[in-house]
Amino acid sequence: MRKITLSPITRISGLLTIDVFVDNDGPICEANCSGEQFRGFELMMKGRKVTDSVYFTQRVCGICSMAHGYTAARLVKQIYGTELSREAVLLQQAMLGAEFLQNHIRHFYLLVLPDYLDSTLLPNGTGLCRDVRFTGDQQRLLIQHYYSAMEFSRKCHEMLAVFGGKIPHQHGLVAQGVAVEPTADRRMQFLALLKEIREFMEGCMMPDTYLLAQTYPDYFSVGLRPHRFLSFGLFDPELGGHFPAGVCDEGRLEPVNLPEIRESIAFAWFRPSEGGETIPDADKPGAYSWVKAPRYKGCPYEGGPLARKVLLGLTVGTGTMDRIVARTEEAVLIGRWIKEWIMALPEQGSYIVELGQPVLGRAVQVNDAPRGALLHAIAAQGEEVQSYVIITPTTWNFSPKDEFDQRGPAEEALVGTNGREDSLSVQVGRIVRAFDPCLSCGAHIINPKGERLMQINIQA
Amino acid sequence: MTGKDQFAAFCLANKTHPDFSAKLFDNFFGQLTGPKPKFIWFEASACSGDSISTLNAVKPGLGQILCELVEVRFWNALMPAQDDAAIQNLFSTVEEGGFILAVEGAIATKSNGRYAVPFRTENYVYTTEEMVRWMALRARWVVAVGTCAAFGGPSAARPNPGGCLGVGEVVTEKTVVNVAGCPINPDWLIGTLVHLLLFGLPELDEDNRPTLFYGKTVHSVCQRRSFFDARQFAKKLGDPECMISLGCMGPVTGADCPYRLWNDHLNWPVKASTPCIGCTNPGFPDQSTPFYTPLRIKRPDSQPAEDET
Repeated sequence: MRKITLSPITRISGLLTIDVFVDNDGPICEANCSGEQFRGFELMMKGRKVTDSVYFTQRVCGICSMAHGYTAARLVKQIYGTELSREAVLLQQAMLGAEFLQNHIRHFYLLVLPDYLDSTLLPNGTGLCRDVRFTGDQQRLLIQHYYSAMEFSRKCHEMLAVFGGKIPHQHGLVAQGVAVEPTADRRMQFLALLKEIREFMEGCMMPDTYLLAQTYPDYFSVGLRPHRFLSFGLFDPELGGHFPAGVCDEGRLEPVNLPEIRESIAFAWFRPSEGGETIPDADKPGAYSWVKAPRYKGCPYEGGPLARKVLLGLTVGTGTMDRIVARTEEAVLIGRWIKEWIMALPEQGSYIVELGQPVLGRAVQVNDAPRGALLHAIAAQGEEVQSYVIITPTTWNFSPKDEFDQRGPAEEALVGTNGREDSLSVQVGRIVRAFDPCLSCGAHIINPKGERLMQINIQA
Repeated sequence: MTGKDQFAAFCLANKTHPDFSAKLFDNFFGQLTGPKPKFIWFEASACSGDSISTLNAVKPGLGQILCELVEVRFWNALMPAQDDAAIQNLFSTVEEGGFILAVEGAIATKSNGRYAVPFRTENYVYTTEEMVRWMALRARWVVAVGTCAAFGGPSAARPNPGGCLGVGEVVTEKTVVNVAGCPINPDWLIGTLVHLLLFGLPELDEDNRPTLFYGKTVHSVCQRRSFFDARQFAKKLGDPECMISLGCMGPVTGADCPYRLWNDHLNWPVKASTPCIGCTNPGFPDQSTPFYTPLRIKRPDSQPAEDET
């Protein structure tokens, strides 16, 4: 058995290395995904003011800062026992939705597509991908759209900035609601940007995605893994378009039961301290990642657009192309929903409230981020954070093995892949990118003792 | 040749060029700068937010930046190459020298730098710390992109689990230009790069930030300044008055956000009725938190703008 190190995996957020093991020219028989960075946000949150978490935790992730801000805002709201009006929630959802559009357009065109193109035609591209199947005309058009995607993805962030002030790391969405009222002019500005983006998504991105899928149909059966998916749900079910929460185990759909989640640190660079906390240990023998291994009922679960599609009740495969197609379809769908939410806003509304005093000492909030299931949990003494737990989507998808040697979802998808050495790097890149890895997100999870979240989770 | 003839000749010569505007940019700009400068974007301990903010640049947009302004030899978040080919690009560029090095993120020093490993080979683990030290020696310019790279920023927030430092604390042999911000406004980075290319090192403040962008406090050019002068203060987020009462860091924060604006120049935090949180400061975020607590309480040592009134 031979080990091949693929490093760095580029066109992702953060730092990722993958080691694969092969026998001669046989399929990949083992894979290790290594998250290569650790910052420790949960340690930093300790002792800060509860309300700081909305702006502070956005700094966990530059590409999905709004998802962290949105989840943290709901967490703070829960601690203070505050209720927001229907219209404030609609506007918050529209802002979160804009972040999804930004993420998905950038992911498809700027990060995924170069894997299937002659990269010497891209700016500063070197090295020829040997498996380019598009015709010259198709490729010219796709590269034109690669450039258009730069424009339309930044416009998604401009939508968000209409109410957020700026983005990444926006200001307007807070626990108290949204600080910017959706006056007629702002609604128009937001919708005008949305219209341009939707035209691009429906006119270019959707056909381009189907063209990719038609041209590389074998990738529906590359990157397969067990049919296990998890979603914390996305958007309020009572306010129109939404994705339901749930777990899917080989076709069986069930509601999510948060106390079934636990994290393993068997192969992560952490060890338990005497005081029961999990502390970083870069020299731990046998460990290979800064990402911990969250498990649901003891098993690895995949999150993200494919999981959300499965939990809508649709029957799909678990291949690389299934992941890519689901992401684009979802973006188009969310684009339609955002318009409905903005149109549903009343002329006059209450968009901002005051927080008052904390009424709870513990809270947990879960909902989906672009890459999958996101959890924020807090224990507070009055207005001061005592402990803060974040489980990000990438910890699910790019988790290392657990104490029972069960692989994480991306590792499962890699094992069994055929590929001669000269094409292995391309294959692994395509499989891994379809998960949309974000290691700046994935790599700072400290959960007391790695034990059941029951300790924190008294609400859910 | 007169200016008119020159222009006519230029138009004729470019008649068949499919992207006329790009050519114009290339020619006129290229005359001043020579060949496109080699550019390395190196990600250390960060959230990728500065990369994303640069993707939000408008004039020039990302396409122009990649095709016309610089020759990107390495940029983890965007480059087509991966794996060994990516490392080859990086190492050969560093050996050639004369490149611009942009570092995004802080330098993690704990456990011999193992808290941020940009890549490794079968027998060697590289750390961002050793890579940045080595690259900086051979770079023409070193730019710290974002507050983590400039001063440690959120990556170094207490208790600083990764032992994170700003690039300038690690690279001491040459000036590190600090383009601070969490994230950066893309105009600050592009403006700094163009200044370096056209005119050399820009004037820097005591924190090595270009005074062109960071030379005045947010408070001194804030659109809500008249409310401050009239002592009319916001009671809650969303109110239209001055937000000194809600923890605004504007008086002690050098940045041109009030007139630069963000995301195609359409908004900024104070216009969105929320306080400035001082994200371009060396003390961000610890000196800015609790975010909604007034400056005179969270930083009693500071003189909130009395001298500016």
